[in-house]
Amino acid sequence: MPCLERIPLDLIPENVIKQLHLNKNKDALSIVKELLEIAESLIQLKVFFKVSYISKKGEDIVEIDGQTFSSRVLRKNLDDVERIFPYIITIGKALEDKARSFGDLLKQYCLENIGDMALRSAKQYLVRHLQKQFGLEKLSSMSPGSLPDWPVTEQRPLFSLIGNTEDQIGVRLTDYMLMIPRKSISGILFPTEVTFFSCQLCPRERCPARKALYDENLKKKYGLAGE
Amino acid sequence: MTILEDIALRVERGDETSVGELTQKALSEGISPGEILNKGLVAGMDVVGERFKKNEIFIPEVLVSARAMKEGMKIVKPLLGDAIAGSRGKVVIGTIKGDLHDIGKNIVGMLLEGAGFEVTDLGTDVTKEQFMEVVEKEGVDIIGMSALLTTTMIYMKEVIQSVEDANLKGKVKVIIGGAPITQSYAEEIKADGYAPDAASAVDLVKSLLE
Repeated sequence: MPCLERIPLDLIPENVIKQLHLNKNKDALSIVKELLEIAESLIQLKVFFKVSYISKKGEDIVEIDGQTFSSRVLRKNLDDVERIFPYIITIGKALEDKARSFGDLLKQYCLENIGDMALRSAKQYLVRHLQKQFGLEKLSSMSPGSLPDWPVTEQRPLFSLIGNTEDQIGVRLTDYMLMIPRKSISGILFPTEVTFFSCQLCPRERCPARKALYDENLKKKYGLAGE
Repeated sequence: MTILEDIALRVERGDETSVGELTQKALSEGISPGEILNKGLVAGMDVVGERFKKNEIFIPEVLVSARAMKEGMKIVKPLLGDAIAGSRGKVVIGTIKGDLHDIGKNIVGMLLEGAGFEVTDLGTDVTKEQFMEVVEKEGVDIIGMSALLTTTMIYMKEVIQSVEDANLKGKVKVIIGGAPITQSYAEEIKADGYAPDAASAVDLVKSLLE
């Protein structure tokens, strides 16, 4: 399974301050610089992906390399797709342990968010890598648990699809579908003509992780109205 | 502006140094620790909570204010005594069994303490037995549970059942929160309340106890 290495940690203090909404705080720059230094020493970024092929498409299900995934949205998004890229990205355990050890909740919150930013940055790096390597223009991503339509229990077939994740990547899935280390993300990247975000189908208000506006009409197009 | 109003304003602005200095000054002027707590420190955090609910500020700004409030609390809390410090009520919080997410719960705990509640934080991966042990030993008023996975939130029902089995339904209230949690889920499992965010959790606790 391919593993990308030497991935740059693309975290600039001023951008981190902006994302954390610490702009008005006079100590923001010193706090963020201190935490970025800690993060850079603790983050062990690993980006793993696989090239997989869709073998079957049914009603609200897709079969990929022997694993069956049940999701109407995924099925519809993969309508014209034959090849997809399951992935797992982790920053390791050290940063979350350090964050938890802080007696200061502000520092814990900021360091945890820096960890999330590192994961998002690494995912963008993977997207650019796949675009270049496979000559793809646009890629979208879906992750089990982002929508009720594709629940977190579907992490199980995803991890089975990827293989021995614990030995290869150091990421395991608990019985409750929690990834350990906690600062890990997983999903499927797939080529699209129009970029898709699961957020477009999620009505949850005030979500700090929202990437796109909720679109009730799009929800109807996917046949999810009323869910 | 009175000194207590000034303390509240400095808490709002997240000015740790000034909050500490003004708290000392207020004590030296003969203002009681209880008044400093309620009309200075807690009053400041109440405004912060309202602004957060109106989307005027974000979590880090709430935490900066909480840090400032903590500077004042360090000075007044030893002078308050147990009776006054926890007089608004006792809350036990925890992230439910199987779940290790804790930052949201930690923020709720901090805001509840800031609002004058006594908080016992059981951490993460908390079982119904662990919740009930604290309920029975410490005479808790509210259990606050957090879950961030649909696979772990189902366990919340078992905790509520344990409260019922102990004949404490109505006496001990149960509130829930976390990303997959909704008002309708809270109603389904007969929780006493649901809070979509930390500031709302404080309001909910206040409304259930006062």
